[in-house]
Amino acid sequence: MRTMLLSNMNMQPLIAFLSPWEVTCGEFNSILLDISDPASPAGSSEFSQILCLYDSDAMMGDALYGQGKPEQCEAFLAALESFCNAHSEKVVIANTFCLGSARWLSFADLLHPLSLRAVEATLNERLIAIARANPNLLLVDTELLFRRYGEDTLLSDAFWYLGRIRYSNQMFRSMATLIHQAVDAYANRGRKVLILDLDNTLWGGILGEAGPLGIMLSEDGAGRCYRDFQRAIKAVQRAGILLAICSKNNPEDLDEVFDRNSMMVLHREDFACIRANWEPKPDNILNIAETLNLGVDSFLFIDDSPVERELVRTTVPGVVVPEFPARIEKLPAWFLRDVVPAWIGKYTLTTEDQNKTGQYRVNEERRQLSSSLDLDSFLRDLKIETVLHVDPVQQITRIAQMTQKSNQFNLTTRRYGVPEIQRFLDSPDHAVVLLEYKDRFGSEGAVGLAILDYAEPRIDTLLMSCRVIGRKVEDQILGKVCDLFQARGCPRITAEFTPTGKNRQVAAFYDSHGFTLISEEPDGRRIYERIIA
Amino acid sequence: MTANNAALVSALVASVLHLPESAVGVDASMENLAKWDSLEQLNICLAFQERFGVDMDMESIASSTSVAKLVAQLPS
Repeated sequence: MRTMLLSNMNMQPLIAFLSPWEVTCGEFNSILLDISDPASPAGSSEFSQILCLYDSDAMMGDALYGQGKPEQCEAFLAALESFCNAHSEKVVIANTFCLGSARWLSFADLLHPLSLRAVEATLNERLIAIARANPNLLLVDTELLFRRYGEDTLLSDAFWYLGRIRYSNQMFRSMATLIHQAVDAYANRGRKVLILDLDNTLWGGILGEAGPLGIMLSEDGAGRCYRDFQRAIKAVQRAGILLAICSKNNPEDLDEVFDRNSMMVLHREDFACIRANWEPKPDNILNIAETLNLGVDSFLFIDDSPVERELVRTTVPGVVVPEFPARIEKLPAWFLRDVVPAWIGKYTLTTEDQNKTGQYRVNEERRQLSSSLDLDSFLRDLKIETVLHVDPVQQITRIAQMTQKSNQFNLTTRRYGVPEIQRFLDSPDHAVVLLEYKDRFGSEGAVGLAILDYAEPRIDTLLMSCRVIGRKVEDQILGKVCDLFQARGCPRITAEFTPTGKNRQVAAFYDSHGFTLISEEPDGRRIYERIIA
Repeated sequence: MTANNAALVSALVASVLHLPESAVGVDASMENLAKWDSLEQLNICLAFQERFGVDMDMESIASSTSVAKLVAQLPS
């Protein structure tokens, strides 16, 4: 993957910090020309990623001093919009408009018709509208860096006037980190589960010693650090991160906290899984993985104890275990500024994200029902209803997310980003089939996905969310796939199984669904065919 | 103290220029090191500012073109 960096300043020093990306800089100060000229290298297929990082003050021209309109900014927005439209196959990354604190109007800037604050807001509004309409445009809010570290630290006037280098090394470093994190979030590479310790993590003190009402957790004083930390955790849970507890405590003591301590922001039902016992934490973490049907490589673990952190790091290496802040007053900001963007940040939220925990809890109820019935009566009793959509353009983010996140029931495990899915949706030679699921316990949303290639013809992708595995809905999506191929007049189709180490359970899927094995590669890949005429 | 600073600065210059530390002595300068051009001068000063917490003005960025002159920017 190669990246082209366009700017109106000298961004050469950023390149080293963007490693391991291979970055090529556009001509100096030619961002406008580079994204508007169809013949410029930015449009060539050599680059899959285009970074548009501009200094807002410089782009404002004389409008920064109240003379005329910000014409360059407007031209840039128009060019950016056409570029994103013309190159849906590329990911375009742009920063938001962020003007410096120097204001020619001084105090009058707030109320005056030429207010820079208002100009900046209008430009950002238009930028965001373009991003909403073009899922291949990824916006990065660099203003957050200025709010955190300040202009005096991040800007460098001497280098600007000497060599058009606008930023200090600290800014180049922070900007590169922010961009890397945003791209990971955009590609849905984040962790799914946040596992939390209790004592001195979710509250201050030791529950076993202080008792359910004696722990440090309050609206005032030091206990507020923990309460705000809980508020922040609750917020990421609402954004689709599953929560779990892994703690050395008596389970009855924890029950008492949930039942009696009114300062708890997090409640029992906010957690998809609770392991409060005296087993070693690595064992509990593996047990959580089994219960949630997820790999430990989707886990993030927060614990104040350096010993437990080290134990989990060395014995369950897939789990991410960040250091814990030395000062508790840093806890809430550390979590939202450092931990969330690095590991569990999201760029867009889907409806599925917003009810994730509910879905996992309902699954627990379904499991209880299934243990009392045989499979067929269980499935009958669930009253499953499914809806199949072909090329559902408005679900593009969810579709990309499913190809990124599904591991177990995934026949080929091809990971696609939004731009690639856009291509499948647009192409007459492809079809995207999405299956939505609900039963008497609730809706699971979009859980099944197939991507068809009519040209070959073959099934490119077939996957199901692990939440609905074992409920036979895969038969319905496969049925729809065969119907679509038949309607296109394809007499025979091919399909493949590519082993990944995680999808063993579907190794024989095609064998048991009317397909014939035609070859098996040395790497374990199997090619099947099926006659449908 | 100054000898120590000179060693730290020449190591920093070497890392910015992607040269082995042995290739940048305490007497290195833009005159005697081919890779040290005016573009690298800016990169060296950016790294120098961050590493030593010194706020350089335009004149000192333009004129601190040797290890010795950079060391002179450090508080004694």
